[in-house]
Amino acid sequence: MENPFKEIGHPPMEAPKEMKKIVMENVNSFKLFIEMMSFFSLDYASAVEAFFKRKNKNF
Amino acid sequence: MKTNSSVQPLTDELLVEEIIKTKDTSLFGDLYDRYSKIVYNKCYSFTNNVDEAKDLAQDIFLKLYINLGKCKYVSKFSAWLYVFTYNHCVNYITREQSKKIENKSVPIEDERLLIDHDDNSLFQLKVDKLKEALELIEPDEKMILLLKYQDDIKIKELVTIMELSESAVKMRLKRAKGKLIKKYNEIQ
Repeated sequence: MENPFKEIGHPPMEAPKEMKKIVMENVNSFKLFIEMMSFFSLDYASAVEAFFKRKNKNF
Repeated sequence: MKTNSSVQPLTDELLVEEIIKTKDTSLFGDLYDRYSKIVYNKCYSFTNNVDEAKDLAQDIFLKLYINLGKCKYVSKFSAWLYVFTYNHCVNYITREQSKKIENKSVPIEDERLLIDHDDNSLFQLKVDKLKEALELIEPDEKMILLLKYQDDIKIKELVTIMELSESAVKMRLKRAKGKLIKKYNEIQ
């Protein structure tokens, strides 16, 4: 027996050609944003560790 | 001179692993090429509008890049992506509908919807009327029916991907089938 759900949306349409350019621009912008953020974010665990090491040396 | 003809393309799952590991956007471009048509058509099946389908598909691919790590432990990437795509479409449609109908009445559960219709009764439906009936049920009901009967995703896979119990998935499916058949029979 044929499954009518398989007939829905046939034939499938092609995705618009310009869509890939927009998607890749969005993805590259997001990646750049994340990389930029990593320059400005602090590694709190290492900072605290370094602070206490320095403090202990002073005693 | 060596040719690349014997080189097998990466499976979807290995390609996803590589993207997560390297963050290489050109590899993500490969994944886009494999699934852009499918995702776009799924979006269109919910919106029936080419511009909205394009906007939705673009959003889905960006969201996919951000959330790719979440599908690392899923055995079949395509099944995960279909659920991911439908969820995005369902949220969009629900948001749009709630903008139009502010005081949406709470539907009363009809016991007839809980009658278990077997798959044969679904397979006897006429395509045109079925399309129409799918537009008359809730987007989440349409989603689970398309996943099961159009994308052939097994209940066990839906349990893992949708993070629901097996009985919850079966109940949703049963209710969606009941509602679909009810709406189908109401169409003149």
